[in-house]
Amino acid sequence: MLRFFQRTFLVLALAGAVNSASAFSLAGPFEDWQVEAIGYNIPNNADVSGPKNLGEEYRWNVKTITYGFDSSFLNYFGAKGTAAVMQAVAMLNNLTNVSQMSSDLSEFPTDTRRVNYQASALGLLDMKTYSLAILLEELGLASPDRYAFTLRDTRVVNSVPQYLVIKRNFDPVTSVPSSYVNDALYTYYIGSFTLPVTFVDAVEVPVDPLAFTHRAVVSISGGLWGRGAGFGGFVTGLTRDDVAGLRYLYGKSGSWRNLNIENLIPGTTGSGQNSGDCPWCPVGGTNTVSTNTVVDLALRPGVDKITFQLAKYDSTFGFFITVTNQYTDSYMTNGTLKTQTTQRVLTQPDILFSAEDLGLTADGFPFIWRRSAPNWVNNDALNSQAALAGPGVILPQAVITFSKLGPYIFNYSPNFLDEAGGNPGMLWGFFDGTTNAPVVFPDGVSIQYLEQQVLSGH
Amino acid sequence: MSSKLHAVKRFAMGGLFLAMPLLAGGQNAFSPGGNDYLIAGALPGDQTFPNAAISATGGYLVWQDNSASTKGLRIRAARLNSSLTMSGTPFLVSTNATRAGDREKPQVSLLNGGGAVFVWQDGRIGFQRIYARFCATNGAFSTGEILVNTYTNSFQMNPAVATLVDGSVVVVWSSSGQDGSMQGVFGQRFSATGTKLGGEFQVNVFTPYNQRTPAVAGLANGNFVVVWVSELQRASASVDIYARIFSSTGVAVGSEFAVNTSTTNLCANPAVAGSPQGGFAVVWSQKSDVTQVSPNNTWTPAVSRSPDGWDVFGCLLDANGAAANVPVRLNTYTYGDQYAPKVSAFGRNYLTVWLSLGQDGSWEGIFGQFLSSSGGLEGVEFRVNTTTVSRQIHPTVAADGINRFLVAWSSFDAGTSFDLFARAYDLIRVDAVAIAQGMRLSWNTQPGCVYQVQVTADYVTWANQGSPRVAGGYSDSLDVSATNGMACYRVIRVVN
Repeated sequence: MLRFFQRTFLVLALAGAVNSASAFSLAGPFEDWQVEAIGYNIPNNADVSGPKNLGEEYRWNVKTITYGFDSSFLNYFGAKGTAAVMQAVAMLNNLTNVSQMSSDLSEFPTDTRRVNYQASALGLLDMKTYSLAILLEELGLASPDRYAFTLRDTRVVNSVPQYLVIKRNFDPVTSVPSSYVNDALYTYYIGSFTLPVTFVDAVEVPVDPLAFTHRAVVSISGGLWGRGAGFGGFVTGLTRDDVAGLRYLYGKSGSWRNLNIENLIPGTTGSGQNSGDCPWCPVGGTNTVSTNTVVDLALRPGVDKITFQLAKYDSTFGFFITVTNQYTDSYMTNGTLKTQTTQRVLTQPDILFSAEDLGLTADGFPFIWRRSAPNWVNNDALNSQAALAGPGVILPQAVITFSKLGPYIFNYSPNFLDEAGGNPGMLWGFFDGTTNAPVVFPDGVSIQYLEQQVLSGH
Repeated sequence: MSSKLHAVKRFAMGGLFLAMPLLAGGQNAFSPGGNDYLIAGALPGDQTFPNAAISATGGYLVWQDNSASTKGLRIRAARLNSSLTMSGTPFLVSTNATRAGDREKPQVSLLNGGGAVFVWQDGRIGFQRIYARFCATNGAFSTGEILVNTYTNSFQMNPAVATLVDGSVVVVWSSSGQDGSMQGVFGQRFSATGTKLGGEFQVNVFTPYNQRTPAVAGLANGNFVVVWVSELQRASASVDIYARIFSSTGVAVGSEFAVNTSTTNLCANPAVAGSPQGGFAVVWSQKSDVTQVSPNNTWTPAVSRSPDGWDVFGCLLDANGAAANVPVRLNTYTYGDQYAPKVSAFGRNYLTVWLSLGQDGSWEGIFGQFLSSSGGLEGVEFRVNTTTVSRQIHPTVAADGINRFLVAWSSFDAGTSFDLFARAYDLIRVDAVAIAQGMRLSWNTQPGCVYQVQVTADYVTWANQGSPRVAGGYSDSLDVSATNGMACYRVIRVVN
């Protein structure tokens, strides 16, 4: 009996029925069973979301998301920091509409990871890459590299510990749970961990030690242990599976249309250009007179494409310049797709980049980034009779904060208690694959100083 | 036993037999032919993924380089002279300025009549192709850049190249979508002048899931062998190393066969080297088992990952693919990950090098192990890189076919980021000269290394002859008395 359980639950296992090489994971609020003891909401990981099943996804339903930098970010990371984030934003803005993507997404590579070897030796993390990964999380994706296998439950039955492992990594075409992420196979083992809390997890194991361990970009920030790009790692764009997840969430037409009953973001109004042709308009209402009436609750497809727009910050007076975001909303009525022009008046960006000392993990390592939990709204009651964890929408504001701790050194008692014996910690940087020296934040930290630290024996 | 001697025993290396009154064949031992050296000079930018091919008169080193172009990674190479140092200056292998993207993961093989062939993957990320370029004996390119793969959908990557006994060349690579399911392994033969011989051919028989990251080696009988990783072929929980032997004309001699024997351990990163004696060696990374460290009746903590992650395994096979020995673990230090092995051979000598995390005290280091002709370990593992701070990555090994191995790798260097370093390993050549009281043994050494003369009468049990000897120069000698005409002596290197 014990051998059976060992074989079933402890020995590496793979899904032999996997037919796909592509998959994505969806993010949403933690469900009741997604507790710390089985690998969710881990404090050291600053987790903000759990993996969702198909049909229980969360997404934005606006076409334009504004983002901005507060004074703490601007003061610490400066122009090069904003450039790093804006490069990440450009990668998202440069995506084509979901409706224009090929069915197999073959125009997107399965691997966009690169290494700046100098940055790798100096212990630098690429702010552009992490910004992109965190933005994907904020858009509703979870790490497929973390949730290809995940625990649903664990308990002791007849004195035998047993673990129920599920997959929350889905093929975008067949919806079949998959063991592959961007063509790379995973297996798992049941691991137990004691810091900062005791928990068990189905830990994904890549089948090649030379393979990057976080194959999807979103996994770089959403993986169990973070730091997914590694020192010196950076990406050149989204992978096929990142795009597959976005297509699932935001598909508007054809096979990829994803219809959910949703409200608009609170505060959204009509723009005065609408026809008033809505399912809740009074009988006899005109369809020729412009109106500020807006169809709020409706069956909506995905928005097809989300564009990020910079919210400008007035550094003299210390506030964001108010913008009016006008966009065309699409909804279904009587089986027909309708549109209405809506607008939002924004005094704060939907996504805010900030900087602060983020404190330490329970085992004494500095947090290097943090993202706030998205404002989830569960619309399950609107969409089904079943008790589900979604679908839902994401509301602003999300805050993404990078550590401004700066260069730091670990010293250990009793033998490594001076500067020469210290061990330098990781730093935020901004780099690519060229021979250009990596930018190190705060701007002005000397590359030569870092090299000396590395080559002095650390 | 003193701690010093204990340490000596720990680092004992294989040795070379010397019979009195005649030299005897048998085991071989190698001495580092020098310290680490910058084999291509201190170049700006990052020089990574080196690969080398050498003969007694020199050879080529090739690598990917981010300093050769502002448009991405490019392939550069350097000629090596007989001292295995750079002759002239590095040159660009990939000169095409119109194709977008990077040139990556180069490989080189010497041509039988002189010259060499370079292969690499080429193109923007996710849409790479395989290219090759031949050069003549004088080092001048004899061809342009040749598109190797015929199927050009999706991507082709991870090329490997070998020169066969008949002078032809075979290139293998992974191709996505071509065999109907994810990646498959394909090949293309060339003449020594760079003309395609036949069409591209499929190597793998089993096609579902990935067959990827191939390696190729020519065999002494004229055939060649391809090894690769195959996913989920043997079982629903298997990732294995497979091999298939082909004739020089590209016709499969038999079907594919599994190289590793374990069916529960993940395998990766295969490398292969053909021996002039006829067989070949395959080495690979293999994941250790998960261990249950705290079996109890609570569900936490219940299990934990073994601290021994990836190990390096290898075995010898004969020319027909029959295993000559059971696969053995080549790394002695097992904590953490030892992976990405490379192997080369001449005569009955095999040298495997690999990456080991943390073993040298700082990130990755390069470690090596000689294999005996029976597939067992010859001596113990040794560290290759002298400089241990920061990262030493992307090891490769080549043999000159006579008496040397060359190990090259990429290492972080102040001011110029990652540069290419190398170290040679020379066969310990023992000479015996009759003197009045017996024999004078003399052998080549590396200053600072420690050597031990040993003696045997039965070729099984070896006894130390005198104390370990610290080499002060490049040779050493010891006088031995001829008390037993059947005694056999050898010299082994005991401390790196």
